[in-house]
Amino acid sequence: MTNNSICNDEHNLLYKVLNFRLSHRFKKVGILGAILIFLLLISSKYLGNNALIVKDVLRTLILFFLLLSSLSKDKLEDEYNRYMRFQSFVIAFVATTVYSILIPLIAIILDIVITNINGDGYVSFYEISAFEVIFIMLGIQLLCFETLKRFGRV
Amino acid sequence: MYNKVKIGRAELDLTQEDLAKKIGVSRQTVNSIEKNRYVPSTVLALKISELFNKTVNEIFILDETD
Repeated sequence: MTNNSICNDEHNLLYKVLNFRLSHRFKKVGILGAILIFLLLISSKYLGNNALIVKDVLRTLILFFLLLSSLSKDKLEDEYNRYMRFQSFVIAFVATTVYSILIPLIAIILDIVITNINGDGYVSFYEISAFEVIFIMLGIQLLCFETLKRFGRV
Repeated sequence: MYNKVKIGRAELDLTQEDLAKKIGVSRQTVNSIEKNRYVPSTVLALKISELFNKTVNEIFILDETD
């Protein structure tokens, strides 16, 4: 196998991965599944089921369903749709990064202000979980994509 | 860049939906191209020019900001 053919194979594989999309029906399945699991997650809290494993499984399932929806095609998938999807991923990535930087910073500032008021001198650092970051990123991506489609502005 | 897609479409008496079907995109894509919100790919520009029986340069025109 020559270097050129290896490069071509890698190039083709990369484009296959980049262009990978699920069928359109996964969009509704993803959204409905995520809402259902979200309701289950909330109800499990009130039903007294506080087992960490249940919470973790449900959270993972929410991310899985949101990802299904995020990766699914539109009814009519064309280059404009692909462009808007790309834009929505960029917006989601930047917004989540800003969120991840700002929220702990705001939490620290509030903590300092509150602890100064209380005078206990203890400042804690707000840690953002991986679930929170991915959930917000996928949520923003889906919302931005639908908004861009509705208003047709890129 | 601006374009004369709307004029070309009117000359052929096509609706946005008709044009969209002929070039294999959504009506929203045609609308965005006509309103200069979206610059189509070379493939799509060639499809439009072929349908209008004009060159790409006659439909898509560069302006001084480009």
